[in-house]
Amino acid sequence: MADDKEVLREIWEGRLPICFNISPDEITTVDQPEPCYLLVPRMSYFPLVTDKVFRHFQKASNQDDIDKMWLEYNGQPLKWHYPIGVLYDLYGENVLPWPVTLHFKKFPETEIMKCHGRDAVEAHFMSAVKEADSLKHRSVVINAMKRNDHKQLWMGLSNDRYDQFWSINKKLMERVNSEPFRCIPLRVHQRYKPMLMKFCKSVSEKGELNTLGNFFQTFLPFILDENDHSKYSKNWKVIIQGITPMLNTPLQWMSEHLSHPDNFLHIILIELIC
Amino acid sequence: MDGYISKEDFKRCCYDICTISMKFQDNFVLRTSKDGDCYMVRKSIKKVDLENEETVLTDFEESFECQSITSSKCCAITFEHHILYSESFNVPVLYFVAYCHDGSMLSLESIWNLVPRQHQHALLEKWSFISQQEHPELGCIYYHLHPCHTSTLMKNFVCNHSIKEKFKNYVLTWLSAVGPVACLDLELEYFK
Repeated sequence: MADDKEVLREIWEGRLPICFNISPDEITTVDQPEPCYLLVPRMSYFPLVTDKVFRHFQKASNQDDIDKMWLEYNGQPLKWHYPIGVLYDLYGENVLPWPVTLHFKKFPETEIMKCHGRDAVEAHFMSAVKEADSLKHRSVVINAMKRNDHKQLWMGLSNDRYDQFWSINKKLMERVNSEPFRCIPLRVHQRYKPMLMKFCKSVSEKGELNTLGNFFQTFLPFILDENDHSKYSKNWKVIIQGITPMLNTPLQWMSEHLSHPDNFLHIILIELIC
Repeated sequence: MDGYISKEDFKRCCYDICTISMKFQDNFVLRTSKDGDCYMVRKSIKKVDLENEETVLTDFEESFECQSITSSKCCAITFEHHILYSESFNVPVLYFVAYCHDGSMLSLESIWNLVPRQHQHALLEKWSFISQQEHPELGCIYYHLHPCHTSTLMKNFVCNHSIKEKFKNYVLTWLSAVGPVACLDLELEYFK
């Protein structure tokens, strides 16, 4: 585990340059407001980084309710309850800086959750952590934690403090009694489709560690080359934390090292032929 | 055995509930999920006084027949309740959505305010009690009751041998306990 701390640190420090503009129909001033550029953590959530953006455009939009604010890229409303890096990998099309548009009118309430400030983000984040631990340890670890530990986890994430976060999260990544996780917490994202959860054990029937390739072969075989299952299909791109891992990577290791702070492995599938 | 239910038992319970529901037109129906499994859906309309602290819920059909005096602050709310199986927690989860007559979605504050008085203690931790969530099958935004304590609640029934003989339907028992906080009340017909 010590040797792989570099991976954890590198993942934590992932950054994304974003250029925020306000939608033209939101502008109430004669002057066109300047864009707002931010370098944000991939692991964070939009509501945690957009106070500054809101204040930047507040005068131009004559808005005083930040809860009405919603973000969009290329006509796609951005779901704030997923980590920023996941949204970029899914929709960003490798465009940098990522041009994100701010809106206040016509909140798309069936597509995006209302965000009631940091409490809502914290609640959603902790809900995901609890779900992940239910999959990994039957909730034993998260339930054994004190309330203060939950707070440390949240404060570490929301204040971008690696050591504070990992001092608690290391327990959630433990192998209780040296057993691999019961099930790998993972979420599969495709554009314009509901997020999928697939329930993949850490260890195969043969007692071997399951790999990313085993996972695709079992649950999403179209991702693999028809004639050679040890290769990705040319029709699909797979992105996890902004990179495409080798298919022989063990899922248990990926879950321990490439998960987001919510303890889920977020897998993005991009179809290349449209 | 802890307070969990298997997916197979969940399906059997839902099938039984829908069978009973059909006998007196209570609108529970089965839907097929993406994985070929099933979940349960119920639609209902209730009259709700959104401005009163003391919210009184009545089924729309009943009050319509009784011609009771209607406050101008009451309105008909359309509820759609979905009961899905969670493979993460191995328990059922209640998702729901509520619309006003003008098509707008009820706010989270309104949903919290509709929780009956006898369940108000749960609102002390309201963010981890009822909140919005992505519907696992549909992908759009629903409200849901957080499932992380369901197995603890149900352990009392599943493991209590003295009542085990009478405990026939996990989902029904769970729904009778938690449904009221989401405006889902069950007729006594289900328990005969």
